[in-house]
Amino acid sequence: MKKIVLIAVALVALVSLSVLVYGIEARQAADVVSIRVSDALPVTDPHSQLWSKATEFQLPMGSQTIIAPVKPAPSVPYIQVRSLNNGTHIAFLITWADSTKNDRTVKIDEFRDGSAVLLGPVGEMAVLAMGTATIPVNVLHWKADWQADIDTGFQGVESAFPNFWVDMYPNVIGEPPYTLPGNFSDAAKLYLPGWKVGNSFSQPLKVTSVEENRARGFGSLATEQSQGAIGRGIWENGQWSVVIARQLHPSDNEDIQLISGEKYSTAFAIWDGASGDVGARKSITALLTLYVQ
Amino acid sequence: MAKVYNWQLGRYMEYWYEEVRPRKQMAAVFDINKCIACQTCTMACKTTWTSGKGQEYMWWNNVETRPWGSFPMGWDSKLLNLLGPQEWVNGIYAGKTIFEAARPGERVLGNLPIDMDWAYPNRGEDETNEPIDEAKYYFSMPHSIWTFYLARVCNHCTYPACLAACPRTSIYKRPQDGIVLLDQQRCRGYRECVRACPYKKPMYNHETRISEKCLFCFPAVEQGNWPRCMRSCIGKIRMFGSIHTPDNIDPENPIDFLVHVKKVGLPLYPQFGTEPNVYYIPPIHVPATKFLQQMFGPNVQKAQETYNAMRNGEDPELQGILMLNVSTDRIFSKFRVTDKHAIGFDDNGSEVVRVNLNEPKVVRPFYDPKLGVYRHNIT
Ligand code: SF4
Ligand code: SF4
Repeated sequence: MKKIVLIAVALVALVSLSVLVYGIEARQAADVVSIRVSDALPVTDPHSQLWSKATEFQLPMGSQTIIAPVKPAPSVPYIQVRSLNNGTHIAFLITWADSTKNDRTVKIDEFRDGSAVLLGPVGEMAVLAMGTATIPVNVLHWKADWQADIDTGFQGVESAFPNFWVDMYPNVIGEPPYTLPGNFSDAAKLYLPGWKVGNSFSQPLKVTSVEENRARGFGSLATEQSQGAIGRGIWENGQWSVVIARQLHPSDNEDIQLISGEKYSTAFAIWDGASGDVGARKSITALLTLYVQ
Repeated sequence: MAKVYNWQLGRYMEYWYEEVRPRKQMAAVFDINKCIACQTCTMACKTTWTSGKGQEYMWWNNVETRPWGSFPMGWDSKLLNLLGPQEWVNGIYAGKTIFEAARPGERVLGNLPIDMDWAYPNRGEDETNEPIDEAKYYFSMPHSIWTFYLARVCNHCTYPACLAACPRTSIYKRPQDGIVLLDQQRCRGYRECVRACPYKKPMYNHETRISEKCLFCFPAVEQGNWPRCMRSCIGKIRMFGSIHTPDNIDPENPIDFLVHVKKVGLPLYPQFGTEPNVYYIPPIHVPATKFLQQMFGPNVQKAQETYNAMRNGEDPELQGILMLNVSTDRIFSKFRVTDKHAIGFDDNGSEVVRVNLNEPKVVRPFYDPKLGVYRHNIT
């Protein structure tokens, strides 16, 4: 009996969702529509009034079970997505419930909250498999710990272990606890290999909380040479509100061009740090269609 | 999953990738009987590779006192508990490896240690297996109350769990020497390798937020030199070189001789299934009970017997090769033992090192009339 009621509720929800979607953009038959506005986009303000101009799409989340390691059950049942564009930039506002804020990845068992937008050519199922050798996809990945680095300064060892003490590190200057990057000369940087080789995760000075990546299949995700995406995430009252934005027509040839009046494939992912989500351990939407108005 | 052959288990097993053995596999044999836990190896590694910020807790080489010591804490007992009781039948492993026991949707059976687990590298140091309440415990061999030192580095496994677990293929095994490396550009700090490695040798850097691991000092190996931890070993417990598979043995190769010919070098926890390439001569003062068998497989007692026979002067060749432990910085691929010397040769057959089997004895007079002093040490 309970089951039937649940199915009925789900059906009603589905029907009303489609009515909502089709009512607004019936001609486009897209799952997410990016509304065209003439204003400057609120690329770092999840609470801007301008977002009320965008339609809210409620997207059900599923588990990532295509490739091991999997996430057996999604950490949130659904997320809300809005999108605006102004002819030069496109921005997404993603909101979801998360009772814990996980914005530090200093300790070995600390994992970040995060969200990502996948963009690829429309009608290609391969997009959900993170693309193929001939169909590359773009992933815009916002990370809570990068946001915290920007908002409050780089989180080093001392942020997780306040009583930690060290006498010296090779070639370092200044006083303990010796913070990055100021106290670290080029010679000292040699002892932080990730930083030295340019790994974007290891850079103490973050210029953006959104990393632009390109992928050509599972496991191939790579930080793009040229980074142009911006955004901002705010955690309040058990909810993340995250803006992810980029240019519609970047000069970077690693990026897909987003043209007004065209459709694209898209999907969204959420990582819940408290559940140990990382990499492939994530909640995902189905492969969706994005219409850029 | 692919089927690959693991000679340490005597059977085929499941692995995430096809069997691709490197052209050459570097390996080591550690003689546990000689380790004094001086930690010189540990510090040699620390000062070479992990003295940077974010690497404070990292000990790519560590030496733990058995049975209680372990770094990170309980690295082996936790996994053994997850794996559950398993069996060897007639020298063949009948149980499940960490690949075969992986939970649905996982690649490897593993667990991620928390910070506190990494915080006590010296836990259990010099603690014996039982309280010592009787003075004469050491008069019989093996000892009923015992302890031994286990020096550990990454095993540069033939079937690395770290490599299988990384969804980004950031970890790779080099075809030229079998060394397993973690690409600092590709890693995104997922810690799948930290979770999967049964020996817990990939470690997460607090500051760069990506993982790092022991690299067998590959820049030294490329120049024909031993890794730093190996060549600095005070107790001369270590032998470093290449190893072949059992169907391709070179009896003049030091590692092949110890592992395949004499069978005194045993893998650490072979049942995990990674085919580790650091081998251990088990401690002879410890009874070959289930503890040792669980740790080194079913051939422990045989290895102890062979080693004891060598101590009784019955195996000069084995005695000779062990004299070559940590005798030179240069990698040698062949050895020969004569009446007087143990000699190591490189790939071209040139002599690399020669050691006396018996050191010449010099006895100096107790009183030195020239200096007008008495000597405390006359040999
Ligand atoms: S010991 Fe661990 S880190 Fe080293 S190769 Fe084996 S699985 Fe990988
Ligand atoms: S240097 Fe040698 S003797 Fe000393 S702890 Fe290390 S392995 Fe043991």
